[in-house]
Amino acid sequence: MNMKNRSIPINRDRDTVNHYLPIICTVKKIIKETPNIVSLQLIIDNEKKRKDFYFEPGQVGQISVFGFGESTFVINSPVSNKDYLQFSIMKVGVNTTAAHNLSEGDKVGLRAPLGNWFPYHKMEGKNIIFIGGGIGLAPLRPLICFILEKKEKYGKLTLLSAAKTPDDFCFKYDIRTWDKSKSIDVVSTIDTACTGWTQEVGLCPSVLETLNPSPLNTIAITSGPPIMIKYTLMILDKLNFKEDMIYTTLERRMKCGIGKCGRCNIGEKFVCVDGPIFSLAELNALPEPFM
Amino acid sequence: MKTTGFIKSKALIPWIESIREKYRVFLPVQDTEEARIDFMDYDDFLKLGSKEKKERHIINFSEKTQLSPKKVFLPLTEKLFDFEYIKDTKDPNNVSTDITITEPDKKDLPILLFGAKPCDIDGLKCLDIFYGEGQKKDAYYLDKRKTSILVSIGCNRPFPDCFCTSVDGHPFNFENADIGLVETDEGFTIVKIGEKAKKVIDESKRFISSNPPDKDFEEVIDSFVQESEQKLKEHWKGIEKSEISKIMDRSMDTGLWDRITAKCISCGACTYVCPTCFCFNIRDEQKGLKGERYRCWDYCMNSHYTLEASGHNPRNEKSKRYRNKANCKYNYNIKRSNNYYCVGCGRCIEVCPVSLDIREVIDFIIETDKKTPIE
Repeated sequence: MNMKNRSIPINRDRDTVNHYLPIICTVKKIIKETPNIVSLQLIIDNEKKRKDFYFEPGQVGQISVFGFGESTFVINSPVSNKDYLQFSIMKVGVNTTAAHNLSEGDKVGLRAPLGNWFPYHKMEGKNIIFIGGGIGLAPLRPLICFILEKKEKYGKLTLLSAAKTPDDFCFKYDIRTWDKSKSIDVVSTIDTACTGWTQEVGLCPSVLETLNPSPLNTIAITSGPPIMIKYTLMILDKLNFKEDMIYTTLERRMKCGIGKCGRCNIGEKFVCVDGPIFSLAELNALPEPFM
Repeated sequence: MKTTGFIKSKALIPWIESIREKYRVFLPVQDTEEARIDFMDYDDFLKLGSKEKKERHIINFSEKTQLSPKKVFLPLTEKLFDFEYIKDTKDPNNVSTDITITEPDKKDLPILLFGAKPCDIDGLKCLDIFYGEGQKKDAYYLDKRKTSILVSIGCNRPFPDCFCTSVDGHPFNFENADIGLVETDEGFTIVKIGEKAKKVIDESKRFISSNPPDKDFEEVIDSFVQESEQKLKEHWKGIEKSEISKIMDRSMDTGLWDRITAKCISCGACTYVCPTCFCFNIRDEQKGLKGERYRCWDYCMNSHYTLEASGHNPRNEKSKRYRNKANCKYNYNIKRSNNYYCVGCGRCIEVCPVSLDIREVIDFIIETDKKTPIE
């Protein structure tokens, strides 16, 4: 059998948009938030893509440090900020360590925006209590900024911010400004007492219980490590918050970010496309326990 | 079943040869010495090398391939793109000045998959749905599928572990195939020509004859269909599709799954051979300033599959992982698209080193559910 010459290639239409290709961004600024968390401020290199970029509070992006891999982080700069996109990264694994080793001016890849966002229209006219633990404040930041810009549409705002030690608070500069502005009540707590700390001491769920917020017309939004979310949800239930008035962000291992690689599912939902923000009512309707 | 033409056994290879000019043909090739049978690029088959090697490989349509033809459209590893750092070597901070990303070459012949069994074609349909749904679709898979042609050969001889008729399939279901063939002693009868395959068939007129006059083929085929159906029904009594989702939802108790998976060793062989398993991993490889990002098959039975960098692992026990796998096939995807993500090919049963049989698992769940009082 002779090998026939097959030199006439047929052009395969690639009219399906390739969502696996990152866009290139430059690290404009690196802010050291805590001993193990940095915030990267990124600028999209391509001018058109930069101008067209649009995201909603709570949406996430996949940051590539090429050669190491891709990980999911929430876009935590305010949506009204068109100058840069900010991502806060805790040093825990291979990719995040690579991200910590970046310098200003370095190039990274970005696939964003991905996932859903906070249903801020549904929150209008309601009191909101934000509960953020450690780096869990990051998903709440764009929402808090968004809501503060339209303060008149919302009721009483409260932020319960928890961290292990005073050093471990992310966005200290924001917390200070918000506290001063009086437009949002800020309660900060640390795990164990230390000298110089004048605010609350104790784990986030127990401080929440002491705060005893009224569930009346109030939405609770939690974000933080899984263990904190688990106990915070228990306290919210105890305080008679209804499951459709509680929102939480969830973390899962992700690879593709577009609901194709399979791993971030809870029941029939994918955290990367149907989440990362869920109401407790949605989560309770899933067959597989989410915690 | 209506027949629209006939390909004599001896015309088959010349026909494939002619198709090969415009398509990359994949077909089941058996290594007779190692008893391996797998889908192979016809070009690679021709290039096998030594005479001995060539002789021991045969094209075989009657056996079940060890891996499903999923790998033709979702390769075990697939390059997503190349990247290259551009750096100023004099810069003490080693800052990258730019990165270029290059997609893999888009010029390639369309694929023609020849001789896949209807269950495997159904498996591809599952992938078509999964990778094609949602706002963001999978370009790498869909672009290969868009231009491809699936030639299916009916299953005259179901294997002991096959149970396609219990999961909406049929050994002679050509609904999802572009060309449907039935193998008889003399050759292959064409029973379906889909819209996508009309051109190929038109160009292959010289290989297609009318049915041998001495036989009533439609009767022969009908007897095949009946025989296969009869056999398959004995392999599993099957389940009620409208009920199974609800039963699975009620059966999330980890204790139950602990009992089911006590013997499972989390090896993942079942997911490796499955025609509908769609999960993959994405990784980077880099040498110097150049590298590539690729994806490769992954499996949900691996504890690292859901392990987050923080150490948090939502499915750290094998019972939870197997529960997810069984639900993916018999619950979650029924909710998503009303399809079983199990085509009844039976491969997972054949390869399982501890004889964990999905039919027994589902039966056990249904039985336990019946016994559990409704709260």
